[in-house]
Amino acid sequence: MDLYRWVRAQWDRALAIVATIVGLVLLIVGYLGVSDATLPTEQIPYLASNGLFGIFALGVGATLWLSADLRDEWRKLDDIHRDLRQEREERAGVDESAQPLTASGGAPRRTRRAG
Amino acid sequence: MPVDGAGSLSLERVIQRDVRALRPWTPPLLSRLITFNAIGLVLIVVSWYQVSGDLTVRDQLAWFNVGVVGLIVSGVGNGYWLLSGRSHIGRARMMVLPPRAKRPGDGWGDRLAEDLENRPVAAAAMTRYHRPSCPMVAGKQTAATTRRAHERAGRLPCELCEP
Repeated sequence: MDLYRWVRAQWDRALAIVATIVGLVLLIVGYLGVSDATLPTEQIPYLASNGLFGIFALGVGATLWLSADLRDEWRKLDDIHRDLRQEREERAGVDESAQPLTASGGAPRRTRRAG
Repeated sequence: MPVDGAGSLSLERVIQRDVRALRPWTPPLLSRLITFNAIGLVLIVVSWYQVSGDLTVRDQLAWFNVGVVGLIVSGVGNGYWLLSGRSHIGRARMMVLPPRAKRPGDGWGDRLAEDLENRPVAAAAMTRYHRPSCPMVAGKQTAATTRRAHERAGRLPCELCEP
């Protein structure tokens, strides 16, 4: 199931979407409630509940989404760093294998001269 | 790929450093974020509860302000979280990607000097203006000025060096 896999991999973005939707719904419901109420004493509770909770949820959603972006950037940097390190290790391995046998204890073969 | 300049890093030194030590966020930062948001949420809930129970606008507004303060507390926590993550990632990026070596010609002053150096030249009696390296002006007493000034003086571009 693709959606399930996406939600598991991108849990922070999924939460951000949910929080944003919840925030928007709260704000719309609050707006409708305030529109229907006539007295200020009836309107202010809508502001305190739906308005404040809605903005809070939108803030949480935005933070989660931006956090996910930052985490992606960090992962990319980590990948680059790992590649650089791997390349250096491979290069070091090639350099070691290219060294002559004498360096690892073997004696170079001598040719016998006549005479 | 050694890089020249102050505070620069060679590739070897960059690789030896551990980027993982610079995670975007640390557990204390996470606990701070949760604390700020929890305080904000509690203030909003208290505000909502009290506003619903009061009957006068004055009392309701007083408690509504408590909710606004909660919202601000939560916003400060979220902002601090994002800014600290941004800062850590910036440092990690500087660690992984060393600063580009400054090349001559990068700066505004270098470009200006280059432009001044390559301005076309001509002598007073000449009918054509030339590049400073043109063989037609080699060893001659010339003055450099803008292409426009040469054309205003009635000179044409040299067909040889095509300035």
